[in-house]
Amino acid sequence: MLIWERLFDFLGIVGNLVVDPINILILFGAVLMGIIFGATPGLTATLGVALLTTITYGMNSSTAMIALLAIYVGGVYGGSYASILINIPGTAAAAATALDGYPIALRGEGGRAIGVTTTASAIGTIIGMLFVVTLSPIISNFALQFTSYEFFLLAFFGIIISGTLTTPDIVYKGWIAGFIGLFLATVGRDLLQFYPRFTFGLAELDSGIEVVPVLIGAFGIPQIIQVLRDRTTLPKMEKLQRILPEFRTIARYFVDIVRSALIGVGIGSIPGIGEDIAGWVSYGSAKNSSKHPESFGKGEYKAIVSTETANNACVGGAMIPLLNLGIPGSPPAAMLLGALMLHGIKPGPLISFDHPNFILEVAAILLLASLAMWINGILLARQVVKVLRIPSQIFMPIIGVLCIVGSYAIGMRIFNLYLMLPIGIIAYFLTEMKYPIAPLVMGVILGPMADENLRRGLLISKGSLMPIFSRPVSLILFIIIFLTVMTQLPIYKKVKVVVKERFFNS
Amino acid sequence: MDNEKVKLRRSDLFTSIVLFLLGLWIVFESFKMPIKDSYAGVKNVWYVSPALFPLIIGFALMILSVFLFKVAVNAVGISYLKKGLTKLIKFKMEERDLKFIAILSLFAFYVYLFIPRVDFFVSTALFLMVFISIFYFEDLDLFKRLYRFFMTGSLVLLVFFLFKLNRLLDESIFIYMTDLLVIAFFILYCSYAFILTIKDNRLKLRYRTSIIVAIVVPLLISPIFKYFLKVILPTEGLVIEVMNIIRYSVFK
Repeated sequence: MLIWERLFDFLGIVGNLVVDPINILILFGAVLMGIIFGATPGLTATLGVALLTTITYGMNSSTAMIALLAIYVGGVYGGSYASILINIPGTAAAAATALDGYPIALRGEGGRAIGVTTTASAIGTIIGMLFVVTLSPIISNFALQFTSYEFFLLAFFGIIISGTLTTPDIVYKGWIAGFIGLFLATVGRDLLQFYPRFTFGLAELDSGIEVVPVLIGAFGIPQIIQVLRDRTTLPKMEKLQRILPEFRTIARYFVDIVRSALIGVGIGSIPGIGEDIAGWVSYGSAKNSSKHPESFGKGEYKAIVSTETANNACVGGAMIPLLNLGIPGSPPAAMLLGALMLHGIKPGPLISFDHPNFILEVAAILLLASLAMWINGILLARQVVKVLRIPSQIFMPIIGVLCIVGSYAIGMRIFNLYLMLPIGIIAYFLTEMKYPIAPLVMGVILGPMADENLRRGLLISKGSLMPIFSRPVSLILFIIIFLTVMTQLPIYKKVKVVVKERFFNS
Repeated sequence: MDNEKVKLRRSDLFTSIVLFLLGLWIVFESFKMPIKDSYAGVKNVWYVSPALFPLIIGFALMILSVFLFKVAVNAVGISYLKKGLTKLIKFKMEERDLKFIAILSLFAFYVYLFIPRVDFFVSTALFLMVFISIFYFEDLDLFKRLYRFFMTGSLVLLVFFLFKLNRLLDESIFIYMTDLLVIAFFILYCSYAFILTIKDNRLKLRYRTSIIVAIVVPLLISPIFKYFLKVILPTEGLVIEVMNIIRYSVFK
């Protein structure tokens, strides 16, 4: 009975959303914009969501969510265009798609490859959406029992795991990036005693560093510098034929789609881990399960079906911790969290009480966005890829202006611009030295949650850390954090060798 | 270890020191915060002190930077610290570095000099024209010449603004005199770029594209943000005022 009620509620929300022509217009427009952002090397879904947040600031929360989720879904999918046609991933999420997508395009089957990735991406998004609907009530009910310590550890876990898994070099860099983000979050008056921390006497810093300019700076400026400094012309694009839905090919890879969607949802729901990792893990798993692993890298459809299903399923996965725990599952989800807060929506276990139908609304938008993405992909892909012909020397300065006007538009503070640029430059140097940006963003977003809950927890327990060890969830989280950190330290390897020699060699 | 990794470890050697100092500074500043004493009538205990979280961050950064330093020293040796410093002094600028400095200075002048003082349309058009043209012409010699021209003009304007001559002109001659001055700089830049590109058909076409984009983009962005999203632009001067007149006379 309850399932039917939820299903009717869901259909009612879908109906409400589609009857408004403005919503449909925004949905298709935002998906298209997302595809363009995704398809253009150097621009990402995160930057797309960040820039659109500034435009949707004045809209009502439903319309804003349509625009933001649509650009997110479109952005993750659009990356495959450049991967397939020019062998340069449009976004990191589509990096694994390039391995087999480009050889397929070289065979003269670029149109078919995009047809396959379009349908696979739409299915991936819908499966992700199903998980949002089914898992959310369970997780938020469970999270209702969380106290301050659990929330502190959860925020800390998000930063540590994000730092561990997204670092392109040694793990310390991922953690350092996370702590730099946490430090940025401490700037301003603290939430419990209103004491000004690291404000240098500047009144503008009293309310802290705003998240949106930080995200725009951290994701926009480094990309502009990198693209213009290192690469000015894109390789010649492979020919693109007519695009069809390719249902037969998709049906042939049904098992791979299900497996990849599960991988995507699973990875998406780990805090701070983006669609790129989902794509790579899914690629590896498809290769391992293949009867002809040697054909991977030479133009295997199974590979592109798997990567594209996984990275789009990751969108739904990333929404699960975001909506139910207030912890973003990926960098674009972190941006969505910032946008939700601007609209007065505080994600977390209480979201079902504060905004009873919000999760269903998000699921309905994801469903509509995947359909809009599929229609856009089938009908407009051949037009959209023309964007790849626009020289980056023209595109990037325009993005620069949008980053600047976007950072300013939130709150209309010139001070945001003064902050955005140095943060962008620091993010650029960090990226150059192989520090991941995702943990930094997670730190900025989760910093206040970690700080406030740690001190609140200690206040209740009068300075004792014992509740961490006496409460099952916090104990599990503590053990996971402890093991994640310990297994990355050199001492762990030494201990492992000693234990192996002493107990297993004799 | 490949060359890329060695380079990375060399820079890690220096950044780990910077990060350690950052951690140390955070800890130092945190100890200035109320830890046990009272603040705003509230008697503090260490566990609710506003210093608690920054202290954790500061110490964590210090520890992690020591780990990073150790990895870097194991890879390239401590002696590189001295060698690296000598290399830094003898730094020779390559094309990549020049491009980086150009992008940085363009952004810096746009954000810190023009946006707060000059009409949003004018400052954006100038920023776009310079940014697009120096990169889109794909000619290092032109890049250097145009960049030099922009920097000279911007530095003159910087002095002009530092001495608050803009206010003097705006108040004594014409309220939008500063905007007119920057428009004149924009026209001068365009004319200089025109002279440099006139003889080459490929460059002529790119010059035209740059100028069109530089004008059309702010012409679209300014009204969208101002009238559609109701964002008061950072500086509304001559051109925005003209837009206002058109907007309110056409759509009353």
